[in-house]
Amino acid sequence: MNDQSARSLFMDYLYDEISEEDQMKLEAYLRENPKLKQELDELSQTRSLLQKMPDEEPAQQLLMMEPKKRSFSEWWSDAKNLLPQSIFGKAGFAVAAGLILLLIAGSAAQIHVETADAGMSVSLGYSPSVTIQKGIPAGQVEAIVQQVKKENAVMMAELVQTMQRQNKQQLQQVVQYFEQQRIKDLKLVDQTLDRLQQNTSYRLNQTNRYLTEVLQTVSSNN
Amino acid sequence: MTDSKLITDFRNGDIKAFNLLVERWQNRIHRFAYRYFAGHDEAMEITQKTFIKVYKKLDTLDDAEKFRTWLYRIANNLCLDETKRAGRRRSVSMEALKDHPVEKIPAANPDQLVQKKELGSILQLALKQLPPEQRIVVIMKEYEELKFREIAEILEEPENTVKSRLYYGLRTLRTIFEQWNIEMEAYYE
Repeated sequence: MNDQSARSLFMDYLYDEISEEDQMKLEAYLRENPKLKQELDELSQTRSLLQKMPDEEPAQQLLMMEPKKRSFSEWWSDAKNLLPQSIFGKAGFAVAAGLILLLIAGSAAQIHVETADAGMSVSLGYSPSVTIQKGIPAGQVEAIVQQVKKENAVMMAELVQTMQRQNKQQLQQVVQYFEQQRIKDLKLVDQTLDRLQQNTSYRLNQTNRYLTEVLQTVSSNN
Repeated sequence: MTDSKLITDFRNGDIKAFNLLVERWQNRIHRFAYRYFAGHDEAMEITQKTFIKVYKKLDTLDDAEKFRTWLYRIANNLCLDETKRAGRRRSVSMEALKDHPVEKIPAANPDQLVQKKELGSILQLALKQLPPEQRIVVIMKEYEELKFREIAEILEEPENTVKSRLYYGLRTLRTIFEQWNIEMEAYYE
């Protein structure tokens, strides 16, 4: 046995779960190893102190309650307690219950109450009368259809004419615009040519004047 | 009447048998949860939830002889779920424990401490410093007196793991008591 194997038996020894053989081996080893014996004593003292902890009792005791299964008689007995006990209460309850029953039955049976000069009548299975309008003759329908077609054709023709008129107006405006622009451009070209011609004429005169002066100068020098 | 008989009766529709089971076990489950959380409200909540779950799931228990470990497993899982949900994990480093606001306990007068019911609160506080997995094992072994085999079955861990957690849990508690100046020799029997 060594220290490690001795320690592995400490817990069994402390809690009396050790075999007699292991106990003898451990006690023999501890006699030769006072330090290990001291360690075991300390653990034993710790245990003794832990044992001083008082027991704590629960503040309340638990009780598991099974959900109660009620019979019909118990259920009816409980329901009866909810009903009014006085004569007036019972009478009022009966009238209210009767009215509710009547309303439900009337709703289910489609009850209808009608008053007339002769008196009042009550009928079951009432369904509101529906007036069905008779149809118009086929010839008249055909005429109406034809009329509608004609009106549609007239409307379409007017629409087309209006559109054409509008297109024509727009086209004329565009042509007019281009014509004005062309006249402006021609005037501009004319003015520019005029200015160029004047300029060229002026330059020719100047050139002639200079040439004349040069010739006069040369001839006077000679 | 044994637990197995009560379980059989309950499965046959006898609600009184279930109430007898509750009556028999609720104090232990409450005590277990109280020591885990150090609070009556949490303990009561865990106890209620445990028995509601038992009521709903008792039909799924294959071996009625294992009712005890099955019951503790439900309670343990609910405690761990609650810890995760509420973020109640209180384990702190040893350094932090040195400055714990608990009043230093003079060992000279243990009777007085017991009279004032302070020792129980201090032990409860010390238990809460343990990580949940060590705390559970200490409570199950020290207070519920379950066998290592049973604890291993409840936690679904090897027995050696259980013993190891208990060993380290006791050592941590020893360190805490020393830091709080509690002289354990005064309580040693």
